[in-house]
Amino acid sequence: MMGKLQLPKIEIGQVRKLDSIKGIASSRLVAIAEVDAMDATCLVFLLSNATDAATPRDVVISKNDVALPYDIALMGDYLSRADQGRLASNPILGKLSEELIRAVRHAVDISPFGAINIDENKYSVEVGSFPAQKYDAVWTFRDAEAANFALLTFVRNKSSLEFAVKFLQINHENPSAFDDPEVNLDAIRFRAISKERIEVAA
Amino acid sequence: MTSKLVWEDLRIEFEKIGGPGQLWRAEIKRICQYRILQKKNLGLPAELFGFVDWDVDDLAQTVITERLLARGQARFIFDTVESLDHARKLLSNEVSFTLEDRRVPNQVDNVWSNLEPRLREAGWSPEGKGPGDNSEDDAKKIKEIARQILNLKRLRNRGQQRLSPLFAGETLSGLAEQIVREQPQVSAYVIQMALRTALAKISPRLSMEAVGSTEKEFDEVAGRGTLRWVDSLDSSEGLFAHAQKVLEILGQEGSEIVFQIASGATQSEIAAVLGVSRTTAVKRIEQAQELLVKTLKSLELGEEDNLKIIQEVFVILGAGISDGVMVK
Repeated sequence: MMGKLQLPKIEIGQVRKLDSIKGIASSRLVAIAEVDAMDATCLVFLLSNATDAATPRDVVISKNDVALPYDIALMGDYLSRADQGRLASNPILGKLSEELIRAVRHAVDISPFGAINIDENKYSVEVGSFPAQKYDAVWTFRDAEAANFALLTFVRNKSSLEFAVKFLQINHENPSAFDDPEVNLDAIRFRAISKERIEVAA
Repeated sequence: MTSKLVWEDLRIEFEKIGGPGQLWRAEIKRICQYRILQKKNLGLPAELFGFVDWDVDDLAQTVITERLLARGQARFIFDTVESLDHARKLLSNEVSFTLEDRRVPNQVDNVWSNLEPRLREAGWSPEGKGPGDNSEDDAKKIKEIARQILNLKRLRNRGQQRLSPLFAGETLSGLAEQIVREQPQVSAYVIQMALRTALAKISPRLSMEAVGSTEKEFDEVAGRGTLRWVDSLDSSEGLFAHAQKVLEILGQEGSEIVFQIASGATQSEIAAVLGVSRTTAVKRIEQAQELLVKTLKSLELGEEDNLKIIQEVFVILGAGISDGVMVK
């Protein structure tokens, strides 16, 4: 009998491909920024090969520092949530330091407009300098990337029924997960109902 | 029977030989072919992008060596894409980046950077993204603004080896005010395209390029477009292609002379535009006229067709006819 296939665990800093959604959005490379086991999702930064067109909101990382055969631009403003399932089966292509990921998130958070402030020497990166102007080709390119990324990812609502169902599915064999005070109340209710049904059936 | 190419074919080829192979090369060549056709139709010379002439193999080889191999972009595409369409988009971007990397900075960049603040000062409030939803509407606006640019009084040419200014500041302010008065919400894309169209006619060296592929370009690359070489003079494309060929043979100076003659410029005015003495200008005018006649003869068409081509040449150059008189 064949053993269960062991996929490499998703960890912060990994560069992986985020699968396309057929007919809706095409695949992109992303860097993992945060992993959440609660609903098997993770936050990801969008990566781009357009390093020549990296703006002051992007960080350009040399291929040697990311263990890839090409330089890459981490697009600071493009952080969103994706299902781990759409990343897990794809190989780890490169790795960024967790420290860099944290630094970029912090830099983007504290300066929502203009250039991001990050210690370039400390992290061996370069903040982009391309002056994207409204309506120019780079602006259009970024706009298209944002639209595609928005379709590939989603915004999580922990109070939603969808989240409750997903949480229940993932944790149905892990009762301790329901002890968390932040657990969605619907998830607890669903678990109670399904447990009751099993008991009645028995 | 040959099966339709899919991304899987390119992926397997890449995996097998560890890099882009014949299938990749064929796709890149197809994109380059389209790009070259597009540039030729705009009257842009290969030297603007550092090439001796427009050769598909040269451009494809440059894209492969400078971008796909040296910068690892083939591997990026291999790592990222899942469909042929997506691969073509990224390859198309690589061709754009290659051309942009090699493009020689030129006067159009200067004209735009001088014009833009004047537009804003005049109250320009652009609306919408680059190319509008209605390409016909855009084309109409581009043509209109290009004609206004062609009508501007140009400064005397101070030689071709340096970027001498094309228009006086006051002239550009007047243009900005006219644009804002007539089309206050026109997009930057339309104005830039109009500048490109107009200045490519004045001098093919003076054009600007943009990085990135529009959906329309992508459709052309994917073989869903309409851009084709057409030989028949019965279609506007065929007429345009013939007129373009004539202008190509006339060259930059010859086209300028034809444009000036068509708009009724005197020999002294033509001399000033060319930056040469009147005597030299007279000689060059004669040479240009001889070349034009010789070129038309070589096409081996009837007189009526030749007339059609000449009219199209004037249209391309931005000259027109009003009340039986040539006007700019």
